[in-house]
Amino acid sequence: MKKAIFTLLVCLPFVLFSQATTLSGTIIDAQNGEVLIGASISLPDLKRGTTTNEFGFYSLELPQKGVKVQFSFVGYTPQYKDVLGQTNQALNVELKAETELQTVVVTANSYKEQLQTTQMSVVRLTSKEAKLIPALLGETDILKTLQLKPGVQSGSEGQSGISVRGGQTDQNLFLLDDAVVYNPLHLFGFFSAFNGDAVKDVRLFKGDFPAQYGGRLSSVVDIRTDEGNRREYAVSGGLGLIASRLTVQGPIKKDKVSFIIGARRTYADVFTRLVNEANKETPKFNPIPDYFFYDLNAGINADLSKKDKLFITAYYGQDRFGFNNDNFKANFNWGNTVVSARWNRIINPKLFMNTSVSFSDYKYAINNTFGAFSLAVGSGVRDYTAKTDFTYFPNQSHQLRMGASATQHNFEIGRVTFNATDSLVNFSAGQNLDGTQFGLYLNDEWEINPRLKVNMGIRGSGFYNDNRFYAAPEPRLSARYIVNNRVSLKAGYTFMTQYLHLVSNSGASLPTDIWYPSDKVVRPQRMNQVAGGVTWNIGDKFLLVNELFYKWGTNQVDYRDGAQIFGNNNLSQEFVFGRAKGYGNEIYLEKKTGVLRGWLGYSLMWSWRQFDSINGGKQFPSRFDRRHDFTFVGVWDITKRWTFSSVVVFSTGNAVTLPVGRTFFQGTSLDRLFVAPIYTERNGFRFPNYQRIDLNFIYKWRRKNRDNDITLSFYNASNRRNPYFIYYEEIQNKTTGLPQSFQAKQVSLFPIIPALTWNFKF
Amino acid sequence: MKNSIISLSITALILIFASCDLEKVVEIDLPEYTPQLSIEWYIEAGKPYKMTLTESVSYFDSARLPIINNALVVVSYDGISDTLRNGFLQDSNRLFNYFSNKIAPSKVGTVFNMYVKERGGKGREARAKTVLLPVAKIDSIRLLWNKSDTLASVLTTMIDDPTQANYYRRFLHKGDTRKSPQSRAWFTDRSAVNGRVTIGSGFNYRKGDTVIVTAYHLNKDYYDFIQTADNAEDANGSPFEQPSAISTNIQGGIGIFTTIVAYRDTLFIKK
Repeated sequence: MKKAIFTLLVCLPFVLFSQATTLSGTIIDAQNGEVLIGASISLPDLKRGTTTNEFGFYSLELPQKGVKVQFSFVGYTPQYKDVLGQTNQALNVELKAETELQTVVVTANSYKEQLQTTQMSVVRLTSKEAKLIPALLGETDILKTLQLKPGVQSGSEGQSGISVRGGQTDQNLFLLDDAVVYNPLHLFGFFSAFNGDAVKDVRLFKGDFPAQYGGRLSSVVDIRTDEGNRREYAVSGGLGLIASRLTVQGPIKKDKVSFIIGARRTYADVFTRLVNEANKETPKFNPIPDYFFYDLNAGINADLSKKDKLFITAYYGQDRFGFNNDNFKANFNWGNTVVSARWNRIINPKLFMNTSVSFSDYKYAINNTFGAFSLAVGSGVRDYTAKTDFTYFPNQSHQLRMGASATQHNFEIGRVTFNATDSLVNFSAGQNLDGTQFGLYLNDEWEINPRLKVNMGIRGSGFYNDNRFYAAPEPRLSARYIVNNRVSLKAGYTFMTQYLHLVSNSGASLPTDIWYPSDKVVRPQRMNQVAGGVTWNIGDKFLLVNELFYKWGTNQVDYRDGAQIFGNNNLSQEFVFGRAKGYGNEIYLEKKTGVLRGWLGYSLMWSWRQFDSINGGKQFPSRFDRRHDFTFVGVWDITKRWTFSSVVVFSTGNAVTLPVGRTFFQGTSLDRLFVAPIYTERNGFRFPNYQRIDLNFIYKWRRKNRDNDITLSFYNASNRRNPYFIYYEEIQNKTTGLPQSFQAKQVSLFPIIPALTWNFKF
Repeated sequence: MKNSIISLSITALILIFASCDLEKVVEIDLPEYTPQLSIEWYIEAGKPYKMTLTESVSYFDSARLPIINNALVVVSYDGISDTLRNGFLQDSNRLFNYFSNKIAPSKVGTVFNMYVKERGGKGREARAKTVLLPVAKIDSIRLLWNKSDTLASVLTTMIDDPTQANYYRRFLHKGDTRKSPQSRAWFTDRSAVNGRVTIGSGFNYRKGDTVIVTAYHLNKDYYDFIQTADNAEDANGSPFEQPSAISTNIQGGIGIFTTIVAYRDTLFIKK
């Protein structure tokens, strides 16, 4: 690694002073003026090219003579331009999308780009793709769609939280327009916090993390929202089984300034309130708890000059749970507020800058009143972040990225107040902590020759808390070797450090989980990962990617048995520390062209954890250890109006902890008697294999310039009873009431669930 | 409270889907389980010794637990030993299979040692140690009435020694201590203010009621045992709980060997 850093530093002066002409600019959608992320710019005659960055910008070195340049993007008609390479040129290109009712035409350029790039272990998804895939209750869910890619799993049935390559759910970094989102879930994890209508593009990094990312061990989910139509006003939305959506966007000043505002809300509470009202006078009627979630997305995007752009985006999402009766009132609210402002500047054709400031706030609050008592429980984390990134394109062989970031974190941890109205009881506990996280990185993507390209990066990360500073150099290295025009080999190594830890003693991600900073007891978590693979472009229509990975980590966090999280001012004492490792192979076969398209994914994986104080110090499988995970996603455009899609999932059952033995405790004279379960092996059991088939039928039509579709979806179409949890039941003698025997029962969550959704756009 | 809300939600979900036939009996293939000595022994100052010795079984074995009747059971303190004799004793709906007529001392700080050895058979041995704590004194018992003055909550304030970590249990009986308590609470002195720790109850008491308050001062071992046993029991069937091993102070077995010191007071709620 020292050699790699040395090489980078030695090469830097040479690449900075090289001279050549450059073609640069932005690629946008001709219809709405929004930038296209990941569009291809290629020189077919020279077999070279590049792609647009997350702001639609590209820079490409040209030869002195004239050359033909191809601009293309999946689902858009390619364009060709003849360009003279004598002077630096700025060329903004507009690509026209295929209309909704046309068969999608896709060039093979995206596959070529995946063959060429050094980047591996990445999954890319657009909102357009996600909307074609069957969804639980008809609600398009970006995170659940990502779970259909190899190496990405859910914690349990129906959950949107993700585990990547066996990592823990708190080891994923969710970025929404450069701002961290701490809880990306609604409804105890059954839906993601991101409205599919507002999301434009998602990239999930499972490994080979670019140096600009840091702070989590297992993955980075980089979500970009729509900027707003810059050319005309547009309204889109949908009416679903559980939620409705509406998004309005348009130009404030045509081609210069645009806005977008979108909202989504569930409405089950509207009906439950009616039921409660109707039964208000019914004796012994228990009111149904009130529950709903909503989220709002808003953004303004402005061209300040030909070289400067400003993007301001905001997200506000809340879950609200309420329960009221005569003696007991409970309100449980949680949610994220995220705001980011990004300023892009094309400093010169070779140098692009993005500077952003962002604010992220996640908190939950439980407020209960019980007679004369009141109890309030809450936690939260608030971030203020500033960062800047530069991308420099010195010549055709190098692309440098460098940048720095700083985040101020404020934590409110386990705040509990308990009071009685006459002040006889007055208790409060909890901690307010803070910390500052830093990042500094430099990365060079260096094409040594047409076959060999390396990506060398180093990230310096640091965290300051309680008068202590923790720091780590995080090397990132990857390489690509082109075997022929259809096959490339790739390999990479990354090292990641995580300074924030999620405190949870439950088996699932809950909104009550607490984020806790590294301190003298809870040291930063660390993870190494190596990966290697082959990318094979099969006949321009198929892409096959196979990757092997091995990851190993230290300072992994878990919680001691019987940990007390609430009202505990000494929370760090509840942690235990250990090691983790995971390894496996992922195969991904994709077809993006034609009327029949989709992907097949398979992963074979092991994921282990080891803690001195858990499982007798023996290694045990993590909750996300899945030996086999197979997914099939197929989309078939039967006619211009009808589309059919299907999802098939088959995976090894979850690793769970079940009691092996049993004993019986009588307690003291005034106690209760109970059967005490004895757990031996942590996660020593497997649920039965998980199988699911989902179906989607989409009918599209256009009327009076309005695009409509009706989507009929069937989640778990085979009505299979997949296990959600297993419990042991005591069977009592009907005469004596004494325990007679015991049996295990499996509870499933979702039978076949049909859903009908109407979507519109005009 | 957060667990109550989550449990409420999950219960609601389960009830909704119960009608969809989403629950079924399944076969679980348990690995071979090695039974362990299971011991439950609560020493009460000034009372004779009695304890229960059984062994744990594989979960789906016969409901009846094997009772170990061929063991040497010895308690010792301050150089004095007493061997308990085997036999059945029933007391307050509980069964014991070892007991003695000797009376446990009442001196605070007495350290008791337990030794159990199975005669013949597997020859298993178990050891444990515990200490007699001072009584947790009740400072005051107060009532907090609801808005309509018809139902009251009982607030028990106990005197807490701030120089050490303390663990408590509080039972409330309505009139008769021979029945199960109406309210149970286990708590620490984490919420103590000015050497006092207060615990409330539900609004379950009316004018004319007699409330008997029993306060226990617990060893940390016993508190951990109760907490982890509760967690282990709650984890059965909850996808939101992480199952945990039950904490024990028995070396060579499972269960608890502890002292019990109680302080009792009675409150008459005027009509």
